Amino acid sequence: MKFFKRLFWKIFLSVWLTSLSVIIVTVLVVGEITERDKLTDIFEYKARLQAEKIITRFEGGGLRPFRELRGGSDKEKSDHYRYKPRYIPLQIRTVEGRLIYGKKQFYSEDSPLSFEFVSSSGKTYSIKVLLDPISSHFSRLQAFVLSIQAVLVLIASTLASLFLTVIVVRPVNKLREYVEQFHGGELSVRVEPTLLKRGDEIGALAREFNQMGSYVEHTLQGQQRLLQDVSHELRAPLARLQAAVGLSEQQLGRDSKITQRMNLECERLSKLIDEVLSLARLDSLSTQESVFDVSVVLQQELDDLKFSQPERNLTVHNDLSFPILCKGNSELFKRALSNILGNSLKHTDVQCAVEVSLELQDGKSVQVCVVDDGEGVSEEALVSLFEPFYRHNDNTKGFGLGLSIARRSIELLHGRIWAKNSVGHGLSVTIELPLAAKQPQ
Amino acid sequence: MSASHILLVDDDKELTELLSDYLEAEGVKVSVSNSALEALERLQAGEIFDLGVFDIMMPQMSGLELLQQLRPGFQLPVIMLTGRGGDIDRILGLEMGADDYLSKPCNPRELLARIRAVLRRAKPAVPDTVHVLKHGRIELDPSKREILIDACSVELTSAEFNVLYQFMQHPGEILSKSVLTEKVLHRSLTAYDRAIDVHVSRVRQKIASFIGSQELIKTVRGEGYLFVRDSI
Repeated sequence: MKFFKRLFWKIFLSVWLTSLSVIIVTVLVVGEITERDKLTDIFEYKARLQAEKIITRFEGGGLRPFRELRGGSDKEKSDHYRYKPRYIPLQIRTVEGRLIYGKKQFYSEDSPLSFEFVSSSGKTYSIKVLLDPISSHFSRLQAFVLSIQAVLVLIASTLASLFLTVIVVRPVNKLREYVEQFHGGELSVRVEPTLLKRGDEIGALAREFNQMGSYVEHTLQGQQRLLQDVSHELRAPLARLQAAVGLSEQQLGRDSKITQRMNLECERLSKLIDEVLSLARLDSLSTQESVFDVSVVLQQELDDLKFSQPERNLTVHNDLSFPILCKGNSELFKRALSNILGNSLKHTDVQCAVEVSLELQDGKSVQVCVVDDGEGVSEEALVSLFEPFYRHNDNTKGFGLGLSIARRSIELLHGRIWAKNSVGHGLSVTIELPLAAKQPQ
Repeated sequence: MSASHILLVDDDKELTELLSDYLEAEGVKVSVSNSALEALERLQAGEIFDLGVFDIMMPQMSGLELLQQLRPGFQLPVIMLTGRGGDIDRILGLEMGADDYLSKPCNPRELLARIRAVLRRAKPAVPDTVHVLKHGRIELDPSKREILIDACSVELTSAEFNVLYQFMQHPGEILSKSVLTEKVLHRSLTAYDRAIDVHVSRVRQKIASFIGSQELIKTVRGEGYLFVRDSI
């Protein structure tokens, strides 16, 4: 997940930006309203004072003193205005329009502030102020950003939004962890009481999760128990049936087609029951914690297959000379491997080769890949292959339980299993198992 | 050979009726007990059987518990009927001294074949001329079916005895699993058949308790087992 897609950052950034902009706008608007009038008044007052001085001097004795007043060189003047705006730039004209002070190129419509002034001698002058009474918004903002208040505002808004975010995001993350565990097969997992006690939507969600959890757990367990019980109960009548078939075989002779057929069907039924029971029994195998060597189990399995099907071309690619240790019950891995290999052999022609390879993945996991030279399966079927009772192309060679047993076994070993059509070959089924923490040197 | 007398222990009355009909027709005398407790009483009362066939899953007392009560006092050869896929039951059964196992439900023909195989092995026609085999500290007397290590008797089940007998007859030779299964269990090896491995490992353990951790029987990967010639 990219960081900006996380709920934490989404909530945090939006809350933070909103609060920050609200604070800034408030400061600006309130400042504008309350200070504008005051500033204008002060500014006009100052301008009036300055104009009065200039006019008094002008009436008293010519222009010269004013020129001195305005300062020396242009540079000095501009510095003067920029750093110490004690002198407000003005333009003073007589009523007739004669300029007595200030720059010529200045038009009345540009002036933010203008007023008339009547001197002590009774003459009227019109005065225009060349500077905006309130300095630009930008510089005011700049000043604000640099001020201590702004830093405090920043810290406060960050803390507030962090707090808000944590309140929302933490329980959501916790809930997600529970859902992940649940999905991983720990059906007994329930949300902790502190989350349940919350009165808000998150608390409600947590309570709903618990209810859903119990429902799913009970349903799945019930189903499994039913399947197990039914299969178990079927075994007794099947054993009797087989004994009865044996008795009729004694009477009809061993060559009897009827008893041969009955024996075959009994055998099939018995295999189906076995597979259903072994699927249900996998969970109990997972409780046994031990360490096993993947390559040893693989070799045993291949030996068995070479023994039972010597005509098949079975090869193994294993360049790893050292033991590859994985945690869990080796029975689970054996079950998965034997089902995958059996599946490959069952669904390909006798002359098709089946190849097994063993590879380490960055020292953290091991991949066992079984590739056959058959026809492969359609893309849609690749996922369904692992569903119980799924039969590709409605074949009648099995019950469709082999690969689902393999998947469940591998999941119980905290590994992954997937199938794909390999280029130039048929189906490839890969098992990935995490390595045990301690490997022999 | 006079009719062998077997004790069939299973709580399923209908099944035991059918099976005893089947086995009787094949010339095997069958006595039925429908509970392990009853079977135990009969055996303790002194009834003699050539072989026991015990179902594992029984109420009150399981076949495994029955076996546990019998060993090591009774040397009665036993075939366990296990639920399929119950590997643990099989291994436990063999470790507790069962001679073979069969998963249930099974074809009665297979049951008959196993019964005959175990009976053949339990009554070995040992010629009188066979002499005592000696190998280091181990002494094996085929006529008495007795093993002595440093003059101490070692308790072995009949299958375990046969395993060691095979090894001591062929020291320094690799014996494949299929040869061992045929000679020891009197039947052919099938895929996923670990019975012989369990018997071999039991022999190893029992001998190791006398002679220490020395490796007397080596596993040769992919080939079989080897009894080391000059190990002790």
